[in-house]
Amino acid sequence: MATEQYCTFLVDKLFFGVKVLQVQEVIRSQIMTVVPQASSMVRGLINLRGQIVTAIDLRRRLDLADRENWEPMNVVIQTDEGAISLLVDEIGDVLEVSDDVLESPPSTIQGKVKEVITGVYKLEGRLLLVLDTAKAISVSDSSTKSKDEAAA
Amino acid sequence: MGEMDAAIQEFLVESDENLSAVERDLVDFESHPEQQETLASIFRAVHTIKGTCSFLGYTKLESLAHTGETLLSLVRDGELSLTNDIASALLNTVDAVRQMLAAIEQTGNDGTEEYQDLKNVLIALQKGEAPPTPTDVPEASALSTESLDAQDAQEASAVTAQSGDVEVSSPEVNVAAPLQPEPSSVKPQAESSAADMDGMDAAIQEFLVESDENLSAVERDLVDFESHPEQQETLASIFRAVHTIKGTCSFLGYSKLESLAHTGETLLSLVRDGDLALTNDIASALLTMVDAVRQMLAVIEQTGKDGTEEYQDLKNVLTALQKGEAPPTLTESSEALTPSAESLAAQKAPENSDATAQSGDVEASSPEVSVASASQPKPASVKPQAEPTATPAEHRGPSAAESSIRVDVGLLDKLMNMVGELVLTRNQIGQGLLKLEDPALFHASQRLSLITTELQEGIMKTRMQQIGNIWSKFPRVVRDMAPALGKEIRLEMEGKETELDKTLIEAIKDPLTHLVRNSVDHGIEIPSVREERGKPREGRLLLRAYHEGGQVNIEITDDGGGINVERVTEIAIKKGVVTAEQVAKMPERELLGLIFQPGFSTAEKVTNVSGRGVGMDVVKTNIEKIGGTIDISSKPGHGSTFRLKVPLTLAIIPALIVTSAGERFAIPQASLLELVRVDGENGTQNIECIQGAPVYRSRGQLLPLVYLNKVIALGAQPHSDEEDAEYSTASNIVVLQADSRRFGVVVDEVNDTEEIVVKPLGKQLKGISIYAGATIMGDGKVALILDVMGLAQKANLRDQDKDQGEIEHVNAATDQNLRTLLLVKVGSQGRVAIPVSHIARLEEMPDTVKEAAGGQEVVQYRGTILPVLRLSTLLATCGYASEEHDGTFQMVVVRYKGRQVGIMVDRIMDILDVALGPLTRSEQPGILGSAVVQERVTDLLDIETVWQNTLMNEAELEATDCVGV
Repeated sequence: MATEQYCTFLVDKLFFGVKVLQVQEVIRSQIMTVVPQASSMVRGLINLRGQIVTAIDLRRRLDLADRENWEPMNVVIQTDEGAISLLVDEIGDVLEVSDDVLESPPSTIQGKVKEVITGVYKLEGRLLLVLDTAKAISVSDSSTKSKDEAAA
Repeated sequence: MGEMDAAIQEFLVESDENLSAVERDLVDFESHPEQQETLASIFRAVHTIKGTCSFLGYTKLESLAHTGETLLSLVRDGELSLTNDIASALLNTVDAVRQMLAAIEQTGNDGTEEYQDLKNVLIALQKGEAPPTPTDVPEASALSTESLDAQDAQEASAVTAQSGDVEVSSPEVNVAAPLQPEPSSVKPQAESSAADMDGMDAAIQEFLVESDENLSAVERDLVDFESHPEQQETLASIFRAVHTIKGTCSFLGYSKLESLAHTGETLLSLVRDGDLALTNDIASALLTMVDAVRQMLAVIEQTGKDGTEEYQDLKNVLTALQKGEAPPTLTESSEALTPSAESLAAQKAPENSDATAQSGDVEASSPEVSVASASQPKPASVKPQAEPTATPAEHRGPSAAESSIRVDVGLLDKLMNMVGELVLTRNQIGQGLLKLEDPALFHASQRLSLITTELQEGIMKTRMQQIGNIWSKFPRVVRDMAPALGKEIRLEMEGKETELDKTLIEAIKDPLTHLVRNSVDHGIEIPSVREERGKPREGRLLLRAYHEGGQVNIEITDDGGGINVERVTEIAIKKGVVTAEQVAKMPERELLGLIFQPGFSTAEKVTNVSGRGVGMDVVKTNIEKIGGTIDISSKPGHGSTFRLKVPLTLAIIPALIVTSAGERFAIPQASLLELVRVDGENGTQNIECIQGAPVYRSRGQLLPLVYLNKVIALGAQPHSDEEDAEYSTASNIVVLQADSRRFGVVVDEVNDTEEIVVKPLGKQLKGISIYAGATIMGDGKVALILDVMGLAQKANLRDQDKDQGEIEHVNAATDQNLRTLLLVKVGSQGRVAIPVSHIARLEEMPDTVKEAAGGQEVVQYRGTILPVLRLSTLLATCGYASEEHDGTFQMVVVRYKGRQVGIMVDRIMDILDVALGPLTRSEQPGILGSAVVQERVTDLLDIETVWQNTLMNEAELEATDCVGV
């Protein structure tokens, strides 16, 4: 059975995985420059060795409440448009998972989470949600609007 | 077709370059017929196109190029001179080839259009006849796309068959061309190349560099092809390279080299056609040929001639291989085989214009050969190559081929990025070191800083291209357009060598072309009108480029009729671009600017040349996109000038760093006009609100304000009540120019100016118009770069109808009641007020700087001589007397009607906004009247008098100057 390596991380209680080959690096919390007028999902810009990287707040992306004194980890992934950082709560291990425990996301999943996962690995004791990075980093109009509503 | 794609792509790119060169050179050669090397370059370019077409099977294109080449060869040999007809026909050929290339790019084949009319014209010209119907030519070259689409792809086999047809169909061409026996045609040329080496030097130099590259490519490709014989495009590339060398040799008169290359080419063509497989022997022989050609090139570089060595042995080997025979053991190749009569003929008659005809011959004779060759793969016979005569020439200094290399632009971009990062790192180190106070480290850091700067300049230079590269097509544009419009125009260019970044060169290409066309079409009048106006028949169009203040200025000046402002406004109103009321308030410069508004075109009729889809508004948008500006000045009856200012490079720009709500932002300095600091008390007075919109009174004009912290909504919390209070506490105003609109941005703090490296923002942030990008500051933090245009839009500043009207209205009201006046003291009692709107600067200077010229006091001021008037003297009749002062004097620099004059005053007192009541009229010259200001009677200075005084004095001054010179 084919296996796949996943870099795993926690956002709130959700256990996500991104294919290891997509991950450029994982770094600690960085100094960030806020981008006013941007979608709330965009937490800011970080300087990654001279490269300017947009940091996407996965908590906000998933409509989860902000945390006090949050010191997120940066999961820097490679995309077609260059590197993007995903801000997550905690980094897990790199797991090697087998295809035979993969299922498509159950239809009962609610809310934003459903938008951004492509499948679920049934691991022992926990479920690994496969993150669709393209969807996770896409700033949709709805999220911008929800921010405006929140502001109003 | 798939595997040929790369070859075709390369061919298209290369041909496009070649065609541009041909265009440029043809126009050039027309005016400088003595420059033989220009013709050489034209000939080579056409020949290369022809050769490649032949190889790729574009027979129609080849046939056309061939006809053109034959005509060119007659001109080259001096049989014909380059008349206007010939030049036009050749330029039309270039157009037709361009169209065919476009067809190839779209459909993969060269279309159905045969351009027979054009070819007839060319052929007639070859015979020295007048062209049959030259007027038909443009129509003939207008190829419809429908015919392209309708056309079926051509079979490769059909192509070869047609290739024969084409040759047959133009026999008179070849007859007309002087088929001189080779030795006689080469000799004189060889002599002349020795005699006036200077003339041909450039062409030969280019040939040497190019051939060296080609040979290296052939070597590489041959070895490559041997192991991957299925890669047809590798062979294509080898063939082209050899063919190019051959063609050029032929033109430059290196008959021995040509003969050798030709033999190799013939062998290659058999391999290409599948008649022979590329055996080890063939590859070895070809590689030996490459070595031999290299040697000949070395000889040419040293002596200017291709030497005495005939390389007959090698040619014999090549010829034998063509017949599919085993080569006479290469090591003993000095024992020559008797070459067949056929191949000898092929070698001895290398008409450069006739290469394809020969290859046709060979093809015709090859069927029998191919049968034999098919059964002859000899992969095992790897014999070490004893280079028959190849003892490498001694190296004497760098050769032509070594002094330049071609570099991928992508690599340069990467280097540029890395240098950008180095600059940032250097800034960080510089800041960090300040805390350490270690002298050794400090020196090292200074050195690092210096080297980084030099490196940055060096890398930037590699990306620089001369503006001449894009100007080179304008002579053709003008040459074609002028007669079509019945005009006579001389194009002049100054500063061709002005360099700017490659990306910018690309970006300004189209706008510049449009401006040139515009000047030719609308600017310069027809000769009869010009004569009526007392101007020479021939119009003059001047392109000028120069560096100034870190920017490149490009001017397009014509001496035509100028822009008719009334007509511009009339049309603008008619088209609804502006309203009549707006026009009434606009200064002339803004009226001229109307032609850049979308939806505006003064062209009364759509001519052949105007209305090509790029309007002036697009020109403006494109120039502004790269951070440039465009400006017009025009004098009715004397012509107009379009002035473009573009930055040198886009990657690293100077910027002003400001802070707002604790965040730093960079503002590109290109749009920065001035910085104003408003202090608490004064601020309350100067910043006012018009229906909630804050404005600042800047020298009598209202400046709309944008609060950066509000626009970016940092710490967003709406509180309408406190807004007015907030406005009054503002302190720093950055005055910016967006489009033609000035506005002020209120920031918390103005930090510094810095060279910043512009980095693009990610996709998630692209939609936000107020940012132009981001950069990394010295401390490693990211700062956003503000987009001035976007900022203006965000603040609704560009909503013309509303804001402009309102502001103008307020302005008018202000003018009536409120004046900003500078109060100065003259004598012990006198108070004189000068309207601030006329004041350029206030200065304090030591007495010692005063000099005298022509009985007039002057000072050297910013590189000019500024006349100084004493206010006390000026108003002497009013009873003012000057006070003594202590070694310095205060001066008000007044600008009026384009001139500056310094007015010496005893003391500058204050600037006030005053509601002037009715003036008490004064009979005194120099004083407009008196009013009560701050409860004291104050005289209002009459600037007109000052100005007239200056004029008088200036006349004297100029007279003195002349004497001095």
